[in-house]
Amino acid sequence: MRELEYIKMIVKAEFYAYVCWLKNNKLFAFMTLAWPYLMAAFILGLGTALGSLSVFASKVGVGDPIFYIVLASGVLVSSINVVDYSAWTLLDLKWLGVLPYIMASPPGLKRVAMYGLIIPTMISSAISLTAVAPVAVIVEGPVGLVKVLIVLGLVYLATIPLIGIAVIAGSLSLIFKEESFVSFLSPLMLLVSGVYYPITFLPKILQVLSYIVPVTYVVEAAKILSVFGVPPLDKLFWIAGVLVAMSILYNLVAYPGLRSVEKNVRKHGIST
Amino acid sequence: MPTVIEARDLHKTYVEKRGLIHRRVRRVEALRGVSFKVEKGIVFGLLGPNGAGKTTTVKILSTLLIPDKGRAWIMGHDVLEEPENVREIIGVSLSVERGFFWKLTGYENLKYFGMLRGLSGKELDKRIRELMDLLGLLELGADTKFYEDFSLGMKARLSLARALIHDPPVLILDEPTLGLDPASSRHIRRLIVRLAHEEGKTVLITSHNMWEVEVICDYVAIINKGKIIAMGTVPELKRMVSKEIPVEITGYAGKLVSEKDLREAVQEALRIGRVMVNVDKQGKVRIRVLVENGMEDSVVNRVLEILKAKGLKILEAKIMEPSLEDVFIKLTSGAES
Repeated sequence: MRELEYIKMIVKAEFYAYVCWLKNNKLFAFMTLAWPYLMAAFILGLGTALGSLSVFASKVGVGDPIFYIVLASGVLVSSINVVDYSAWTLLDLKWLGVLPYIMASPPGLKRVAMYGLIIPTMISSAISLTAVAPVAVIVEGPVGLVKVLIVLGLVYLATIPLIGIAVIAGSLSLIFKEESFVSFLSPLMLLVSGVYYPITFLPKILQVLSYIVPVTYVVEAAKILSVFGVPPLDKLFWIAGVLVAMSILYNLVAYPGLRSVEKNVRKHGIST
Repeated sequence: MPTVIEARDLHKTYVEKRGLIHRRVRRVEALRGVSFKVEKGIVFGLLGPNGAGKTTTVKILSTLLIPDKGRAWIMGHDVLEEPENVREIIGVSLSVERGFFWKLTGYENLKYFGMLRGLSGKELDKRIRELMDLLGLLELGADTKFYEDFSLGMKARLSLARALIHDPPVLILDEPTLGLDPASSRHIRRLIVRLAHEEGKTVLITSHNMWEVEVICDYVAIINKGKIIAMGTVPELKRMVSKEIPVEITGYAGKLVSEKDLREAVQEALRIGRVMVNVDKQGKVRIRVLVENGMEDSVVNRVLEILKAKGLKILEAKIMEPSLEDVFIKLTSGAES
């Protein structure tokens, strides 16, 4: 029961703080909305410079290339936001000097670091995908909006294993006082998720890596959804199943990992 | 009076390891058997120079640090075995300079930390307004101002407000007035005394400001090099130097002089170890010496000769009432401070 109370406390506090933060950083909120379009425009520009959109569509294996690029950019941006926010939070809290006060609060570091990340990352993903919704509606009408909502649902499913991965990296950075563990995550994700080229283009080792990164599956869903009309639901359910399995697996490692991080930090001391 | 805080034989050595591939290891013995008890409703001061072990002790009591050896309890709860129970009953301020979100206002920051303690709704809003009013933060506009725009005094007040947000019976404050302007320092000192004496809270503060500790603390422990070297009420501690008289001489160097050189010169000339030397950034020199009764005139003359020989302009020489600083000088025998 106490655990549930702690989760409620953390979720409420983080929701409040993140909304205040967005309100106080209006330019950042605007950029979060604009970012998927900037990325999509960049890829479209690059794609048309190197060949036609139909070539891109056939190589990557998508139906409507514009719909796909915009949607996939939304997926990618929201995933990068999740990973960046989750991985850097522990270090940010340390630099701000907030970490000791989180540790000295009743829920403690491990709970705040785990549950506290869920709300801000969900809000951030919702903003990124809301940004691409107008294009989806223009291209496909109301079905486009449903597709965006499906992707948002899958991004939310992917958020939990992503938080697990990012928290592990953030924890290692805190223990070893090395930021390299978190700084490579987003570029790696961009590289292996297969958003802008088929995964088969990658070297074998990166292909293997791509299968253990949750974003790959959400991108796959975006590809499925980019076909006009009703998408094959069985494939989407299969993807959802994989993401649930990943959520359980990664967080089975991340939560005990955070417990040992808290113990490690308490053993070696944290600067105030 | 019941014991609220108890530390028993605390030991802590920091082992700092850096780098993943090239490991560099450094060991610092911070605590070497610290024990004390704090009774309910008093202001307890942990006094000592930088690096004495004050913050390490505070971190252990706040459940932020695990000691290598020894135990501690807050209102009967073991800080190692029951950290969650301890966190419910303590309010902590560890640094007045930071510890908040820069892009949130003072009000928003307090609300976040209040929510992390399970407070919410009107009750929390009311509490925040009360505290901001009590600490003079409302009149400074801290409720709507971003933390990044706060002065150091406002930051210190906000830190104390956070420590009080859940109305805890125990407050642990690490150097609560460090670097503050006189008005902010006075405000915080008055509040600390009021919280202990009128509201019955138990307050543990650390400080290296001996005057401050003397003014607000009911009971003082002097810590140096990881050990408590004296403990008692301020009058009890002062009695330790009752046979000696403090002499203070101030001068102006006009150039950068080494505290160490001056201390060694005075120690050598007087053949005593109990000398404290401070040189500020403007070149103002303050020398405080504990001398035996009846010897004060000759000591003053001797010190004046030394200072003149070093080219210092003498501003003032006076014979003082003993203070905590003198107790500290006597106990540490002129150690770096």
